[in-house]
Amino acid sequence: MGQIVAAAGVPHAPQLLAAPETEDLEQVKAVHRSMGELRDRIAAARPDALLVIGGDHIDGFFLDAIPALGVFCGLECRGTFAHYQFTFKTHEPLARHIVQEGIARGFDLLYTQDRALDYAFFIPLRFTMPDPPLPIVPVFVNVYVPPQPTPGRCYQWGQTLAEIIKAWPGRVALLASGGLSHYPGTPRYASPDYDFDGWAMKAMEAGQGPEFGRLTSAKLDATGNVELRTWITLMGAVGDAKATFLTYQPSWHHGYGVCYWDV
Amino acid sequence: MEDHGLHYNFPPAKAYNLNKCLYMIRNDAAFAQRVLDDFDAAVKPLGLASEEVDAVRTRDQAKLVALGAHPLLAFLATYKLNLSGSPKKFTYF
Repeated sequence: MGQIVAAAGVPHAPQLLAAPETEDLEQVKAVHRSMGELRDRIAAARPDALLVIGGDHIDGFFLDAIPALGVFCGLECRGTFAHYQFTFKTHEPLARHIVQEGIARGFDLLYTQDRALDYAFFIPLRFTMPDPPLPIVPVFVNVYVPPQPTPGRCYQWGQTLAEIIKAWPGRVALLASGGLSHYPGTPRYASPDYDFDGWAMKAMEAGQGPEFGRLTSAKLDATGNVELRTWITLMGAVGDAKATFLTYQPSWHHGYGVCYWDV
Repeated sequence: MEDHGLHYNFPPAKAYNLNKCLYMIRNDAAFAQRVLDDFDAAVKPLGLASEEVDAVRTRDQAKLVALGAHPLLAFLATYKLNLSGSPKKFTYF
């Protein structure tokens, strides 16, 4: 019977990889240190695969076709960001299992064997991928292009992912990408919702994951947390497990939150 | 479902060509270079309305979004164009 052996949440802001002079490097380095701790935790849990839940910045998927939920299930997945080019080996049997079981259990998933991965997947993996590297399964959630899947639906998908993992004989680590509050491209870019983030962290630390499944899409949008959908999916999988925040850095444009859940 | 008043709205279909133009600026280096070298020739084949052309030419993010551009595309495309004119210093990790 499969197990979730580790679960963590991280940000993926481009400034964490390519920091302009407007970025506070001490905040960035604090995030890197915490992500390094996650790397060690993930490695110590000896997973067979790292399931990364991430979105897209209208890069991998354009308006010609926007999926709500998807799974990358080619042999490898790759992408580019700035001058970086990256490739990751996919855990193809697990990815295929997730697609087959997800469809059978009523989730109308997109799957792709070839689409490029967005930096939402690359940047977290750059700092949290153990050495030697684990094969990954990128699980896609539409976060930025309305109408996105509702928080409730993301939570349900997470619950189903947990069942799907249980039905697979292996150890899986979960990594959710894209937290916490930030409003890129909007007039509110320089004013993250630190108050909401404070509430969110307390609630996660208290094991109140189900609360997040009851949020509305409008609430996520209002608080700069459209991308929390990936964390909410993870919370559906880990139920009322309690989170521990390794750091929260309130940068001028992004509340950088790094945590793990006790699974 | 009401979706005005959100930070990120359902992109209107009438702005598809505009969003495509911005997407190409961000993702297609050769196209971005053509936009910089000869703006009018580069955008001519894209079927943009004249006010869309003006908004791209002036890199007016607010105007682009008002015309139906997705905020991320308006931001990332204009950022990319501005970067080529005045390169920034980055610390890479």
